[in-house]
Amino acid sequence: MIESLIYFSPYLIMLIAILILMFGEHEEDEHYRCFRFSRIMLLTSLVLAVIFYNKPPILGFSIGNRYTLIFECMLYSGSLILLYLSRKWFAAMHRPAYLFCGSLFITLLFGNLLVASIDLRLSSACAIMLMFNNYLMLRYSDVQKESNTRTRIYFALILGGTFLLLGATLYIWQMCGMTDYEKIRLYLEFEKDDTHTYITIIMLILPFLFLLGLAPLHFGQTETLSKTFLPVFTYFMLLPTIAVWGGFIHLNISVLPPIAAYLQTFYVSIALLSVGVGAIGACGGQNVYKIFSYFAVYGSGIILLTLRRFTPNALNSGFVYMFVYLLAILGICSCLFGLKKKGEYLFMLTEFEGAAQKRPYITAMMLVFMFSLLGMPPLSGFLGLFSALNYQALHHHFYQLIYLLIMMLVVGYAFLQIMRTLYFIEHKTAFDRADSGIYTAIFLNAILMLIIVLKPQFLAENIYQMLESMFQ
Amino acid sequence: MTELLLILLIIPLLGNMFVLFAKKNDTNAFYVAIFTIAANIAVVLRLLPPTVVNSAIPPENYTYHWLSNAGIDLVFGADTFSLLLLLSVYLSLLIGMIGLLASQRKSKALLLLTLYFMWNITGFLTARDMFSFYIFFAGMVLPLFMLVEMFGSVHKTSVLYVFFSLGLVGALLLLTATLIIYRFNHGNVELSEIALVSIPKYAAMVVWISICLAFLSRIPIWPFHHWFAVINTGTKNPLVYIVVNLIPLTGLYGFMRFWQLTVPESVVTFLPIITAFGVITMLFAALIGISFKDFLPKLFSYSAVYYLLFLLCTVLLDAQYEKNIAFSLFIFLIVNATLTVLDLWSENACAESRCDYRGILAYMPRLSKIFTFFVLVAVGLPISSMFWNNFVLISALFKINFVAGIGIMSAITLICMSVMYELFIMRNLKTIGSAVAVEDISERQSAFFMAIIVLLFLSFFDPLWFVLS
Repeated sequence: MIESLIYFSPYLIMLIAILILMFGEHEEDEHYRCFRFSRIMLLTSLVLAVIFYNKPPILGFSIGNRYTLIFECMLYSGSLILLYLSRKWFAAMHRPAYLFCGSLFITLLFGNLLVASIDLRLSSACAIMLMFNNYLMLRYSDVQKESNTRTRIYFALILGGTFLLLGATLYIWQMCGMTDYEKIRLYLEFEKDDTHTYITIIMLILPFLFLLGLAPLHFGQTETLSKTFLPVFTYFMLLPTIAVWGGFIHLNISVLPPIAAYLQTFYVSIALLSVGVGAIGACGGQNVYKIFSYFAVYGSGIILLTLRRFTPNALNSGFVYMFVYLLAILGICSCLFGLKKKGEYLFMLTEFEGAAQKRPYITAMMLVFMFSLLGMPPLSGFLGLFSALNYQALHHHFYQLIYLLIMMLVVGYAFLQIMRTLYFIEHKTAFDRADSGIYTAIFLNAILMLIIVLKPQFLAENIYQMLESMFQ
Repeated sequence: MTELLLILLIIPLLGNMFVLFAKKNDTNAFYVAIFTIAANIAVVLRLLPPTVVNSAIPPENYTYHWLSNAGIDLVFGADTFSLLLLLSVYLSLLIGMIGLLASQRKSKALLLLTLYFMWNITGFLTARDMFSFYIFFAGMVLPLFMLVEMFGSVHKTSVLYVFFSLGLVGALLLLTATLIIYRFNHGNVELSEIALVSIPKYAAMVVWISICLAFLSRIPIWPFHHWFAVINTGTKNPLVYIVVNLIPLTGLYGFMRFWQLTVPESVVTFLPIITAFGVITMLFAALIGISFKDFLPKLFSYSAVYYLLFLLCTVLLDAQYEKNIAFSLFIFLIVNATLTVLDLWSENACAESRCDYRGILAYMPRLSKIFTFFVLVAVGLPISSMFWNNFVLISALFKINFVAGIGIMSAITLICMSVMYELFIMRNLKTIGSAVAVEDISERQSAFFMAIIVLLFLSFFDPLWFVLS
């Protein structure tokens, strides 16, 4: 029991943090204390998670291996950076940060559990909690109640997702008698040709695809995110994405291989649709958050297209793309944190006009990150794009390869508009002075990108060996 | 020697870093950029002699183990051909730097982007494998576009969008070819071994068509010529003009490296089409050159005609003419850069003195002498090695395709006459209304260009006279 508690300690710490932050009594202007407390709890939890990474199954619900460690580290790092970047804004705008930090811990807790889960009940519960937590974040950011209709639609989608997940889990529980991954996999081996089983699995997968913002379920996220504020936008771009991808990959590798052949067509359709919708949607926006939200749809589409078979090679290629993509997105968000006007973050494209004249370093780095997202060499994004495209070429998917290249051109057009706004229009906005923390975050991100460009073995070989633990 | 190749690639990056952290509104960054280019010239001059002396032995390559498990090692090497091109590119950039006005020298963004472009073109010209070739080919898109947008004085957004899209499409086409070759070779392949990779017929077609289109998109051949013309004629910054003028070189160099490596028969069937398009575009460029009233647009037409000449030489002639093309290109690039700078100086002097551009050279004796020499070199008079090499190349073209030869010769004659006429106009004192005081170029500037004149003139006797054996 004590041993289980020790192994469970990273989760316990997060649970305590959630309770204190969400239900404790706080003064409204205690921003720094709130962030300091969150940082300390997060770091303690991270250290314990790393020490006990190869924990045995806890109560038969979750496991720990090198695969879960990678995703947990990504989640913790993302949360730490987000806390670091957002703290000054909360203080400057006198907004209570407890709810924000609490939500962050909820995502961390349920995200980590989702990645490590080996039981469908736990996975479903975590996915549902993540969905409701996302809604909580959106409600929290919508202070002026400007996007009520949008958030209502989002809530309706969440309810739909919850029913689907619950329905699928109950059906499988009833049919299989068990909900642990191994048993379900065995069940699927025998029932793989059954239509009901196939439909149940699709019901199970759909909420995950919704959480990943894949088309045609993307609109809830893309439309709602355009009205949020930057810390929440960054949260959506990073944390749920990492957690859900971790859990989704785990589910596919551990449970779904018996019906992988059937699912492949479904995944490819969704992925191609997402790539197209994301690329075209990104071109039509005047809102920077919306443009990057659509780009996230495009990026998720490429990841799913690469992962579709969930073989070790697919996982390697998909992960490399995901990693460099997240790094570039984080870089872009850091740059957006550095472009403020009277303390408020900017989000309309017209507000960024001529930013290069006032903030040349930040805009130059933003350009680098955008080109990295586009996959242009010699930036690290090329490595990700190469992994994804090479995977298509290796498996003779030449039509999909050409489709991806064309869509890349379309996305290039969207980025061109941002570039034009930043560099080639006379500046009108007086930007606030960016604090040194933003520059530090951007610099560190750039250094990490440089290391990946010069020594990609770290990503393509060393991490691959760690990810392979999922297949053992 | 292989370490020198690495140094060649590192110096521009270091220069970039120093420029980045240099003081604002100061000329420090400018001198760092000059020093960076000069340092790379010194390294090239150190690398050249062994390749000239041991031309029969393949040069030693530098290999960077980039992604071993995927079979991607980046290979860099340099033979006489690529080193000569590098030298001419560096000299062109140096001339462009010298040509900058005092206010332009303080622009850190301009210097940063130029050095970043220089790094990319250095990597491109020394790349010996498919991947590094692609990486640096695509890497040039960003600095080129930024330079044109920020300093190119091109105001039409649609033109800039198409220019960027062309660069991106070219890069994507080469990426497609790279991925297909990688797929069938199960790893990266050195450029010299591409012919050995076994690729099915249709895949080979896709590869070669992609490669050809990728390179053609950077050469001012129909239908791509229009965008180059608009970009070039709108640019008034000498350095940007010179950098933009180096884009066709990248396409041309791509053809040089790939075409000689046994192009499949299926692609060779397209050769007459490329030849026809090339000759027709040459003639059009020459005729349009005549219609222009200023020297700089004429110079663009001139460079378009010559780039197309070199393209046709590459695709029509054997590998034995490679050195002639290299020697001729070497002189051509330097002459082009110098004439750009001198013309922009004279235009600037005109604007300052509010005098007529026609006849301006009569008031600037130093500039006039230098300008005249370079125009005479450009039109192919026997005062540089360009004369010999063009003679050899054009006579070989006549031998292979007489009709094409006639077309090429007509285009060259037309454009040379046009340039000569413009020189006559600029020197003709009668066209100036009243006498005005125009400031001539300084003695230091004059000495710099005299040194280049000596370099070119001595090349008439030995194209590689500056290489110490």
